[in-house]
Amino acid sequence: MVFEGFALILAVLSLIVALGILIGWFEDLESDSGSQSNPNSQVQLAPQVGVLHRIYNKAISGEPISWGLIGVTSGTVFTVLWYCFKINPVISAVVSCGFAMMVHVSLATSAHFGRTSGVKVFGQPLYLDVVAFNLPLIAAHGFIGATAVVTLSYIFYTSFFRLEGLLGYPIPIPILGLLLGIMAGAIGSSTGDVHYGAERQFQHYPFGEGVPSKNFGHITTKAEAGWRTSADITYFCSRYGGPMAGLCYGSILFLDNIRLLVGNFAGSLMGLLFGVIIIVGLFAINRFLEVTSRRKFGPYQ
Amino acid sequence: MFDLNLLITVLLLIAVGGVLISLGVFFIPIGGAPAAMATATGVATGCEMITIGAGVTGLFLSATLYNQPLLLVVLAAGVSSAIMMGVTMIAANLILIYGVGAPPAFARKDYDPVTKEPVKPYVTPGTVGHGVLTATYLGGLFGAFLAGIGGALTFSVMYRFTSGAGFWELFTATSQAAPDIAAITLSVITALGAYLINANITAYSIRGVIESWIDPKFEAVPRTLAACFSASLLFGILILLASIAL
Repeated sequence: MVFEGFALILAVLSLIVALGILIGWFEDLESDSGSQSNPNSQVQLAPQVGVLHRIYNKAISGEPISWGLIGVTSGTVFTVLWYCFKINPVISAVVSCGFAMMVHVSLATSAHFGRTSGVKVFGQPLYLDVVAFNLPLIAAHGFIGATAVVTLSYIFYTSFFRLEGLLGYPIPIPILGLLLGIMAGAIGSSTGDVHYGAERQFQHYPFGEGVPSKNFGHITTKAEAGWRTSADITYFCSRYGGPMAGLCYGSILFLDNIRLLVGNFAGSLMGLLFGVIIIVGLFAINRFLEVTSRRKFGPYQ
Repeated sequence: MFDLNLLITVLLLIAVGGVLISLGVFFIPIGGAPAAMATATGVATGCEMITIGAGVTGLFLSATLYNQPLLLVVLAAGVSSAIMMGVTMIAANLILIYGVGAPPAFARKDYDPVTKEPVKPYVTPGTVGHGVLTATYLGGLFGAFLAGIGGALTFSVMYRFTSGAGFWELFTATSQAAPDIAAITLSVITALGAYLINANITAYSIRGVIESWIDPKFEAVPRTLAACFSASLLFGILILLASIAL
């Protein structure tokens, strides 16, 4: 029985980490497909320095706020369907995320229209085919991320009461959706965006350097064939930036939950000590990365 | 009807939580949008965003440890926030190194203040640096730890107050067998509010970007902490008035 209980806990933990990876991954790709968060500053600046483009720009808030809204909308509808109307959680998750995507797509549309009309004086046209082409992309990536957020909230909430506090958090599902969404946005914004902002957005400049301020606004507008669209950007970022944001989110959930488990089995002080050991390990990894990268790349030439 | 000592203690602890959050933001290397273009060092997002993101990890843990002693809860939440920040900074460095192809470096000083290694030769001309170095990485870990403690303090004190704890039960382990979900909801929203208010005041003070403890803007700490203390006190009064209705 003890072995079965332990196996169940490990299974739930691995499901949590897998869903965490999905959330981080698709959150970052959704933001890349709409140029949300940091890189939108360059997309918005480009027409002002004479660079016209066909890139979708829907940034009217930071990623954490936007994803907090998605999480809390889908979490609220999910709770109403699952808890009040006793509908199967799988169906409730799909329906609630479908509703959240309707809210999200309407926001994305009005945001793009508003953002583009703001730079009309610099000659930037509003391409309706860009809107029609990119909205399904945004909705699809957002839907997968939102489904993972709602499923993870459900698992956290139910496993806290089923597993007697060993895993999970006693926070209501809409609030959990809000918190997980905010955390996803913070991670996607601070990790995945670097791949879009510093590499894909300035790809016609040499590889291996930061972007000097004099290049600001001069973004790459030509793709491998024809004009660059947000779909090309999402394709490129799905190879490294998105997966790394997912890995980051998954690692955080893994390390934090394994610490919680150690704390629950061996006492809270041991959990605290284990956390300090994890932090020392993280510091060592960062130091290793820094030293090896400097040795490998050498000074700027 | 209400214990005056209890009310004043709760208010003071919420204000101290706000001060800790603000002090934590000063230590976190925040690069803002330029950091996402590898034009500035630090984590590529805004003050409020990364502080609240790190703080949420601590809030999760403090909700799970709802009936443990206060000191243990806040320390555990602080360590959780530091883990979140540590992993995020490593992922940002991984993308910078293998996705952009530039090593972590800053132009503010010739040498890394902690490791004493030369860092200036690695900086791309026209930028003030890129990535998170050892000195700022340590600052980020410590800042997230402080901010996590501040948020968890606000959360736990508010939770214990709204679920009807006495004066001493604010600090010791409580006898609750099951969590009070309504109190947890109100306390999470309070803690999120505390994060946003104090990170925002600090963001004005550091003008959006800071390079952890090596930045000259660090001198603005006393003024900002005083502002955050008074703002959190006012916030605490409002939120206590709102919670009494419950």
